[in-house]
Amino acid sequence: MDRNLNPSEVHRLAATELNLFHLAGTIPGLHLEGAHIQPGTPIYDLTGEILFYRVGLTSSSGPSSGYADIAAHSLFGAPLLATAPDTSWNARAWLEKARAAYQQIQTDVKRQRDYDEIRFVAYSFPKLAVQFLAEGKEIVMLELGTWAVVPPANRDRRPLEPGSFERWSLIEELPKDQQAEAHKRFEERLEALNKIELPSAAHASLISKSILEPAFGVLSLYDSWELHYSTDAATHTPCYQLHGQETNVWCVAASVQMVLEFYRYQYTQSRIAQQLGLGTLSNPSGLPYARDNDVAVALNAMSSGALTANMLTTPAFSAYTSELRANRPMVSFIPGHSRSVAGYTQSRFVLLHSHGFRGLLVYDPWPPNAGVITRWENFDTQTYRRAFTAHVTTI
Amino acid sequence: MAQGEEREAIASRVQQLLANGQLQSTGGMPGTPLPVHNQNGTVHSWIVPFIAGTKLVAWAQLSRSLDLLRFSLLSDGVEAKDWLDPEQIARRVSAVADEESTLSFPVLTYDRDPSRLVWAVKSSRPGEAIRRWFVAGDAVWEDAGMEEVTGGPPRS
Repeated sequence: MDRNLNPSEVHRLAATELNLFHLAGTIPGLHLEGAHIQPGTPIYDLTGEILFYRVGLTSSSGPSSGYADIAAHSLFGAPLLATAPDTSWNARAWLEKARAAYQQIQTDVKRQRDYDEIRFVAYSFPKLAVQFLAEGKEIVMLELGTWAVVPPANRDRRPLEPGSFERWSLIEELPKDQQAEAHKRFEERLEALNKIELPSAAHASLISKSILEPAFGVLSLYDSWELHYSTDAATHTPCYQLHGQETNVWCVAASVQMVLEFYRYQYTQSRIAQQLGLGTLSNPSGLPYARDNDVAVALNAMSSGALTANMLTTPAFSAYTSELRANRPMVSFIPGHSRSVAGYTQSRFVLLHSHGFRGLLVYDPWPPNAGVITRWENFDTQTYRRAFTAHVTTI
Repeated sequence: MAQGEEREAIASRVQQLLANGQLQSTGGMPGTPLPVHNQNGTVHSWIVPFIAGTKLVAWAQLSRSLDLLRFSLLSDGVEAKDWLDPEQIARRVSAVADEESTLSFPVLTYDRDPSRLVWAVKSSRPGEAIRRWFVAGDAVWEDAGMEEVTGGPPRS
């Protein structure tokens, strides 16, 4: 693989990487759905090689959705360098300002020199400047935004230790062994990305979850479990009973009812509410946070000690999967509400440390007198306060 | 994004999720997305109701960035108008609020957690404090605030 990528390769990488990251939800704050990838602006190294492209992102109605920097040189080790969701990129506007600044400088020094080329340069990566050239030779370099003249390079220092306002070449100063190592990583990433085909030319500049979801079948590579009568799923159908909460504040009682019933302990919800000190049907109340552990106590008491119950605080997803895999339902507290959990699913599609979709099968006693079975609740969008486990004590 | 555009994006996203199997067909048809509001009036998320005949059989709740938050199924379905008809919702509050109260238009919001969807209606009478009511299906109660209680504080 050549260490320099051509513009069409870079654009393709931009589309693939941004669609993958969008699909995996790994870029918080960047609203990419429906965004269009604009043609990239090349950003040069001082050597004259293109280091990366800055690609603006626009929404379908026109406003900017920020920009992304995509590597055009393998020394970065990976294609996607950065995203800036809150900053628009308008190369044309910057160049107009740069030309105006250049004219002002020319006026101030009472000299007119025509340039025949103007380009963006990473004069001190990632800081940018605009370089004015005539016949391939620099006339002046102006820092982006401040329009201060960037001084010449200072060779009298150690590599990669420039001053605060000094030009230097990333390509020349990054050690060769690091560049080689980065090149290898880049190649590996490219090999993986080249296996992904964007469905059509129309999708070459569009970011949307619909583009790659069909190709990956994200949820077809998953680990999943729902409660059965036993851990032998092959011979039993899923079984768990939903109970709606009988008042608007009895979600805890309803959740405990569902778990107890799974273990064949049949109680009315009113009886469970009484046990938990949650009042009566005509005068009900919820469970104060200070008494959360009463749930574990009630599960134990109402099974005559057959169930050993525990309370977990801010439970991780793994806490749910391990209990559910053992075919044990749980009570789950989220802020202000309680439900029971009877299954989970998680995608095995892992992208750059992103875990893919993780969902819980929630038997939710809300709304009152009905309840819903939620398949699936997105684990990564919810705050989990407590979970309560219960297991039968065996000899 | 304007609310109309956002509504269309949500509807489109639900169709995609149905097409790729992430949402299972329930026998119901997806209806018009409804915004779920925070207490301060801003939009927190959207729900797309699934209707079969006169019944509400499920809903999908999505974030404003089109992430699926949950897909919830009602085992026997409930009357759709109890959840989707503002006049029906207002009538439920009217039955429990003081006579001669003026009622606000129902707003879809949540009680304590965004998974606990409710319609909020304010009732007011001259010279008296405004009261806030929650309606969830055929259940109606007065908003008792956000104390640290799982479920809700005692009803007065």
